[in-house]
Parts: sequence; C-alpha cells; structure tokens
Amino acid sequence: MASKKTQYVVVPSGGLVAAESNPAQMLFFQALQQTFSSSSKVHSLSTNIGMLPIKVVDSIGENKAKLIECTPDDLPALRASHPSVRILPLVYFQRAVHRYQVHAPFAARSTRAQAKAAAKPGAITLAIISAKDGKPVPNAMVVAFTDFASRAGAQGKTNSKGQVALTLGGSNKKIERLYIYPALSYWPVLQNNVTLKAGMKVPLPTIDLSAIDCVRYFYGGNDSTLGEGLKVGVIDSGVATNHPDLVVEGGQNTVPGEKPTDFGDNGTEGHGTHVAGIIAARGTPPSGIGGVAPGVVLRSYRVFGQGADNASNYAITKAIDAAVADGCDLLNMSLGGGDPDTLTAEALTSAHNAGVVVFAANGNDGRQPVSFPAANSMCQAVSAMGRIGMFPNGTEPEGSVAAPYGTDKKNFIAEFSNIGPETDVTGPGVGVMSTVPGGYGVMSGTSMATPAETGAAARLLATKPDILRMPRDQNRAAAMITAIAGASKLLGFGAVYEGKGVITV
Amino acid sequence: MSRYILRYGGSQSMPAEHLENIRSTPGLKVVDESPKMLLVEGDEATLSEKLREMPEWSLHPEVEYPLPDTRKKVG
Repeated sequence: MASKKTQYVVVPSGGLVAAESNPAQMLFFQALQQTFSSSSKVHSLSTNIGMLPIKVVDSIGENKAKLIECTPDDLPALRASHPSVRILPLVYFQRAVHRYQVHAPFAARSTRAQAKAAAKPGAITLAIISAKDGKPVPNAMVVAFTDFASRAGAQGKTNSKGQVALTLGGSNKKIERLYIYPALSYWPVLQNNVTLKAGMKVPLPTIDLSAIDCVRYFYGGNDSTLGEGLKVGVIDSGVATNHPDLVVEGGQNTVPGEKPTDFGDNGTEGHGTHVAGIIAARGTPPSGIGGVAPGVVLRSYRVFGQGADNASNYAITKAIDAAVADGCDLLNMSLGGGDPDTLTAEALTSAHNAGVVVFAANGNDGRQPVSFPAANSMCQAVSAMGRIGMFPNGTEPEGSVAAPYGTDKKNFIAEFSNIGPETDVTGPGVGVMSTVPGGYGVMSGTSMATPAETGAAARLLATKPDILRMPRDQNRAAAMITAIAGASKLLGFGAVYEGKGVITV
Repeated sequence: MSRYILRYGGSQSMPAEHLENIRSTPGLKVVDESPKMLLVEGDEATLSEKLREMPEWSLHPEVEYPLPDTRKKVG
C-alpha cells in the first residue's frame, strides 16, 4: 500500500543557508528553488532507485530552507542521494512541558530477599543449570510472567548455587512465559506455557563461539585486516579494556564527576563491551570471537556513569565532540529514547560537518517510531533484523521472530525493533554472540544491529581510500553515506522497516 | 537546583572571560566543562539573562537517555 504524502522541511546540514563550499548542496537547493518558482512545483529527483517526485510547497529563499512534500517511503532514497541536507519533520509546538524520561533499573532481588521469599509459602525455588554438564549457573536473571500482557509475575537473580526463589503465590504455578538471561557463557532461554514446581531444573545451552549467528551469517570471514584504516568510536557504557579479544586504542569517560581516563566497562550488563566486540573483536573461534571489522582502530567513549542505566545529553554531546576531535571516522551510538534534544542534534550536525558518520539504534519499543537520536537525519538509523536458524531451539531469540519476512523467508524484522521513514539501514541484531566483561554473551536489540552496520560500513569504506583521504568536512561525510547507500541491498521488508536495506560487503 | 548545558557556537575556543563571567555569577556553579560546553547548576532565568550578554552561547536543559534493552521485566 502506498504511504501518504507528508510535509518535511529540508535545510542544509550546517546552518540554514546552503554552503558555497558544497556545490552538490548548493545545486540541490537552487534546483528546488526553480521548481518552487515553476507552475507544477514538482521536482523530479534522480536517485539510485529511479526518479522521485518531490513537491516544493514553500521556500524561505533561494539557498535556504524548503518545505517539501513526499511519501515517507521516499525518504531513505532522498537522504542517500543528498546526504548533506537535513530532512526534518514538520513540527507543531504546544505549550512547552518538558518531561524527563527515566527507565526503571532492572529490579534484581538480593540473595537475602530471595532467601526470605523461599521461606514464604507461595515461593518456588528453581535451579538454573548448564545443559552441557549440569553445573549451576549463577547471576542469571530469571523472569516469570503469569500474565505477559500485563507484565505480572516475579523475577530474581540466581545465587552461587544457581538457585532463584520466585514468589508466585503457589508451589505449583502455570507460567505464560519464562525468560532466563544468563550474564555470560550461555544462551538466554524462553519457555512458553510452563508449570513451575519447587526444585525444577532449567538447563541453558552453552555458547559455541564456532557457531554461525546472524551477524556471522551476513558478515562472516576471519580476516584481521577488515576495516583497516578506519577509526571507530563507541559511545556507550564503556568497553572492557582487559578483554583478550578487544584492543581499545583510547577514549574518554565524559560522565561529570568521574575519572576521564576510566572509559572501561561501567559495571552494568556489559552493553558497551558487547557492542564493541560486534564491531572490532579480534579473537578466533572456538576460544574467541571475531567482529565484523577487526582491523579498525577502536575507541571507547563512556557516557553512562558507574552502575548507571541512563546517560545525559551533556555526556553524549561531550563524547561526540571528543570522538570527532580524536579523528574518529565512524561513531556508534546504541542508545536513545525520549524527546529530540537540540544539544545532541547540534553535535551530530557538527560531526557530519567534520566528515564523520554516526550510526544510531532505532530503539526497542516494538514497532514504535524511531527513537532520537536515530531519528535525527544526521544519523544513520538502524533497525534490527534476524534470521531463522541462527539461534538454538528453545532460546530467547525465538520470541523476536515476527512479520514482515523478507524475500528470503528466513529473514525477519525483529519483533522489538522500532520502525519508520527515518530508518536508513537494517542490521542483524537477534541472538548475537559477542564479548562481555569476563567472557562472551548473547544479546539482542537494535543496539546489536547498529554495530553490525557500523562494522560493515568500516569494512566497505576501508576499500574506498579516495573517500577516506578527502578533507574532513561535510563532503567527506556525504561521500561516505553515498557509498554506504550504494552498497546496501534491499531484503524485501519495505522502506519503513529496512531503509536502503543491509550493507553488503 | 536544575542543571543546564551551555554550548559555545563560536568558531574559536570559548573565551576565557565568558567562562569567568559565568563562574563569578552568584547562584551559578560550573559542574563540568569541555572545550565547547559548560554543565552548570543554577536557575534558568539567571542563565538566560546571562546569555543575553553572550549571544554565541546556547542554553539547553540536561536530559537523560536510557540504554536500550530488549530484556523483559515484571511490572
């Protein structure tokens, strides 16, 4: 079904007037101005998928902002054809009420609280064990939903014996969904419609680093030089600098009040370490794991405080500025949510104008609009896809399989992925093996799809020395984005799900 | 007391006298700084008034972004 025509504001990537130093940008604005002066007001824009009709509704001036009309499905091609322009949604302002959105931390129950719960009638103690040798699995989060739709149930973390006590109001309880998220070494598990009984043992499959997950399916190869010549900054929760598969050149902790040189992991779930490994891990299976572009120079910019689940726009903006100053070519931002923020938007535009391309995660709210900052047109917004057969049976990624399916019916857009016309590319992000502090773990999310595409872009751009040698300005960023769009392949999901598709290398 | 971010939009590094001007204003406390920004604790009205003297700066509220997570949670 054709999507509805929508109005957007088109402005240059830097400032409000097209730059004389950017001939392509200048020509584009002049062409739109001519169209606006014409009787039809419809501009036929040449893109790599053919001609797109763009209606020019209004203009502020010859080289200035234009109000255009096109379908949301046209936006990925428009952005790819003219990377040095920003395409902004038309916004109607109401009285300003600013609200901060804070995600509640993952509520882990203490071992003492669990012991108390176990002593109470109605508590069920489960044992989480290794499927391979029956050993207990400590520190695994167990979440039991009696009613998944209302998120009712109980949760807790396993102790050193692999045991967890869940207060479910009975000693024999039917559970709609049981999720088990181990900290490392095992696949997360999902069981549907299971009856929990005291003393029940739940086995977890061990991670086999030689196996092919969805990232390795799309970006296999074990060449340590892939991505060489690119410098990539990971703006996240820090990267475990002592992991044997990771080489972190440097970075900065931009959280106010914390030590600037402490850009290692922040002690939460190992998110930044997992992200970094997807891009740049240098291990070799079966003892280690390789990333999509192990040849890149990796830098870590920690924006989440020690033990924190939220990052401020100040820390993020400081990190973007620092990464640009440090000579990064690509930035990975697997974070987002909440309202658009002008400060972060300014930093993203500055990064683009300094020849840097930023990849950002669409968000994991389940088919909701693309989160900020991914929704900012200076970012390459990444949705998450998966592939059936790339995870063991009975594991948690099975819960992410959903329509739409691609031309190859094994490919699907993950159930959790946000979607929308801002999507630039899609990437493998369901059941991804990577590095975590102290070992290896499996995670799913647009957070994982984003570094897969950052790594793929690094692999691709490493073969384009002419682009990398360009002066660090918006023309360089535009050339990089054009190359990325040109190498992207549609998988048959539709533009709002996949943008230009998956980057092929 | 709320925290705000001041971002310098000039092409050179931020002028030292601007920094001193903000530091010496009663009710404002500079919590952190970078080559282009200041994180300031204080009152929005005081900061807005101060920035009238320094048009190269923009004022932004401090907001937070969560780490995206696909793990299911009770509640």
